[in-house]
Amino acid sequence: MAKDYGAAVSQRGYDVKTCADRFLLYSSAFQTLKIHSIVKVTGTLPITITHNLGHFVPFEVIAHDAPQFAYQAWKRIPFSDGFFYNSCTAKGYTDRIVIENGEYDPEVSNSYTVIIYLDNFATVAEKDVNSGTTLGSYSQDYGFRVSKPGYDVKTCTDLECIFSSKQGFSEIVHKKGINTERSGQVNISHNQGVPLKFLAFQKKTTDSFIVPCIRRGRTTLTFDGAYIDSSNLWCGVDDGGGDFLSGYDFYYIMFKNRL
Amino acid sequence: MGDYGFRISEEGKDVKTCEDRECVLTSKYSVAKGGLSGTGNITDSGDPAEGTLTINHNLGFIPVVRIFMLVEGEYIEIPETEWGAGYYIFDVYYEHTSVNQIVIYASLWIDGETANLDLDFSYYISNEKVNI
Repeated sequence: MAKDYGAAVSQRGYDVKTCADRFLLYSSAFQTLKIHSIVKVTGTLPITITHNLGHFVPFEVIAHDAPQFAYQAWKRIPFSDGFFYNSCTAKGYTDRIVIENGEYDPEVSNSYTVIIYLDNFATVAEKDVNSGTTLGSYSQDYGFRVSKPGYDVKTCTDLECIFSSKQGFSEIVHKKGINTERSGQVNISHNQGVPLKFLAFQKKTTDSFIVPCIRRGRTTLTFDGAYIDSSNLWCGVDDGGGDFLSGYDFYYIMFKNRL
Repeated sequence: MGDYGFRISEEGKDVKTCEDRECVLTSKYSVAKGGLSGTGNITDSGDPAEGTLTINHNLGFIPVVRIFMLVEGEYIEIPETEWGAGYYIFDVYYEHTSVNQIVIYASLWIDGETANLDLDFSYYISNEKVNI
């Protein structure tokens, strides 16, 4: 714990006051990523899901049995058919998520699961853990849990819980923020000595939406999109010819989990 | 939601009045649950070189999954697409083959040469259901 207040739950056998962070099932020293909603939508693209949160939010979109790629059911968006431009992408506005098809693809009817997080990208400075880089989870019958509305917390499944110390948390924030250098490829330090799980989005300064910052389509092996090493998160948008475009902001979250 | 539950604010925020997004935790909203994590490798040599990595999670539903691949010392998330141009094609993607299993596929073709594939993967599978 960085401060002598807050809440923490340790694994059995570890003193919650003194144990390393990795032996904590929960610690309020670290921010979690909260789920605003998970919705399933079906229709012909474009599809709009409104959230009205008033700020850019992290999100994930998973397509069900995309007809273009029948062999790749449950695909994470954006995905591509091999060309530089995405065959399917998702744009995050401050009040909605819009799933769109690429300009070369026919309109198709399909289903999508959309996970919208509550959190914004307001800066959370990196917080070192005092040992290790992940919070542990433990499967014994103690700890704490909070059920979703309508479920009995004593008997419901873990899936029916808002959270459960039995499972731990998968999205413990190490650092988040917005990089506005707009100088092409940027590096954002995390100084953990190991690569961390991350989410990254890009926003062209003239656009009013963010899109996942991920390698797109058939490119040369330049580092388009976002990638991470033991010291830095790197974000860039390739122009298709091996150079990085300027004029982009990058919205990022790095988690405690190491890769 | 009613006026019950509990919340823990970020440092410097008043827990009684701050926005939900300014909480490190609030029982008003669910958080992404932990689950399985692990690493694996695909190696092959041939024309093309190709292989699979099977992950048996046995959750009984389609979970939220994120898979990262190590390329030249850097981890990137699998983009589920083809890469390459001209004389080579590198293809990597994953699929939920059932409600209990994920399979990662990778192949590398180099025109006129024997290709060598040696890829490391790191994955996180959350106990969060997407086939709702």
